[in-house]
Amino acid sequence: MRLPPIGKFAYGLVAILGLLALVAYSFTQVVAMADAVRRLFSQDLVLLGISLYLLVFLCLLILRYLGLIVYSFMEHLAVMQRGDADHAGGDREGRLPLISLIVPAYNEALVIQPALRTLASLDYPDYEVIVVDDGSTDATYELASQVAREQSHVPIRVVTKRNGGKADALNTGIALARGEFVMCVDGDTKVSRNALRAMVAHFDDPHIAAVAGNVKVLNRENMLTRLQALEYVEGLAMVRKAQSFMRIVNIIPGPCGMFRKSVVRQVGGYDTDTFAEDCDLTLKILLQGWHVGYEPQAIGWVETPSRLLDLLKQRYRWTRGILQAMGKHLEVLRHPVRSGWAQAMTLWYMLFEGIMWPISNVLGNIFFCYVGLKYGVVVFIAYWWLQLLLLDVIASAYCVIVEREEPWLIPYAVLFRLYYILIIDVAKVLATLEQFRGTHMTWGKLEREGKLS
Amino acid sequence: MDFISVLASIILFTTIATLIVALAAYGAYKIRESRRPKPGRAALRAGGEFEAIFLERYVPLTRSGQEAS
Repeated sequence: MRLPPIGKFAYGLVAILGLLALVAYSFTQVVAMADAVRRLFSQDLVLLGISLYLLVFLCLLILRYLGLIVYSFMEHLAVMQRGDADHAGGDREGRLPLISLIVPAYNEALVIQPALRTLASLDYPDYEVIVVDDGSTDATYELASQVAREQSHVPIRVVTKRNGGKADALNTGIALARGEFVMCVDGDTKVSRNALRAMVAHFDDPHIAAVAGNVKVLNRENMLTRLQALEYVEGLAMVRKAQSFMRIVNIIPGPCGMFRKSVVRQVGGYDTDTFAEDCDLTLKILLQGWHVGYEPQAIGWVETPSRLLDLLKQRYRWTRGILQAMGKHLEVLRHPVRSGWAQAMTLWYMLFEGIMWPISNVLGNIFFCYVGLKYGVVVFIAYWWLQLLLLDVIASAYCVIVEREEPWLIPYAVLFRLYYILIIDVAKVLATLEQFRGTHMTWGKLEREGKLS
Repeated sequence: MDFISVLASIILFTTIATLIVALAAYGAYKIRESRRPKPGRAALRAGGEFEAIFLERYVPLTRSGQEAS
């Protein structure tokens, strides 16, 4: 079931007004909590300090949600205006450039054929597909070659090379690309038919070097994958949309992103020294002064982990990879004037999301459990939890409305806050500690379940 | 007990249980990964050190604006 269209701005406007009222209410709650905490812990400076830190964090979180929703709504309006202008502007057909789709594939035998068949049926007049088999030990190369032979209207080239990792496979594909615009697509991704048209339009702006696509969960089959579906909509799409308003999207997702090839060459392509090559490349592009946007209509449907341990494996790699990528550019934080305020703000935001948020969330839960068990004051954890839940529900409702997503995702915000995000944040905190300790890690490829077919 | 106290108690025990599950799941993940066969780098070593195919490595700028060596 999807929400009916009742006017372009109506849903979003109602959400914004509701949000402002609830944010005001949230701040009154935080003030009330601060007063109660001050009275309870006036004799214990450590507990008082921790509780005040957590309240400051809560205020930052409220401002974060407020900022993201307002900016993403402004971007939403801008996208709709742009859509109207494109529609009125008439036919671009004659001047659409060649686009090269790069598909790095390592042991993707289960999904490579349906993925390539989808890519061969996109709505775009001039594009090619380059599959880079990264030394697979299964039949990926043969199966991809079979699809290439079937196709006549879209050129598909399949190359195979010694295993060197995803970044190296992407660099190989970019080297072979004939088009100035390259779109990198994971081997398990199903791209929406209009994706190329929607994304390439952004490059009319000569400052834009890359455009992120909208990644959504394909296999919404159990509680874990549905919670991830909500997370992708609320945690990823909303953030990218807000960042796109300022053209500072900080991660072009691996499953769906388009780049100017000349800029990718200028910044040295994908590096092989991090486990989040997509984040690393995007940061390099941003730090060179280029703009990075987001296209919500270019959807990349992906298969997400349906088991908890597989999910932790994925998040472990993401957390450490993003920390590695940020670690390469810490100079920007120390010299924001020289590096540019937008770039410095991007990295500060990443530090907040990547380190401060998970640590504070875990600390808050442990702290309020301790206070509840030791002092018998359980009301704090209820206020803490309800406050965070309120933010999640508002953001989920807003995202479901503007993304025209399935409304049944909204009630999942309760489970999201109660179980999911705490489990993920504990894993992120432990992965962060391992990153700082320098613990050895490997790529840790996820096993595909073949839901794409 | 009023409604808020009941709700708070439920949240308290659920949070403690979730924290335990989170730690147990992370431990299980680490054990599973340590028992998994390590990916062989033999093929990589056989052909010499891995080099990027066509692009030069990105070198971040130092404080003086020069490329770090």
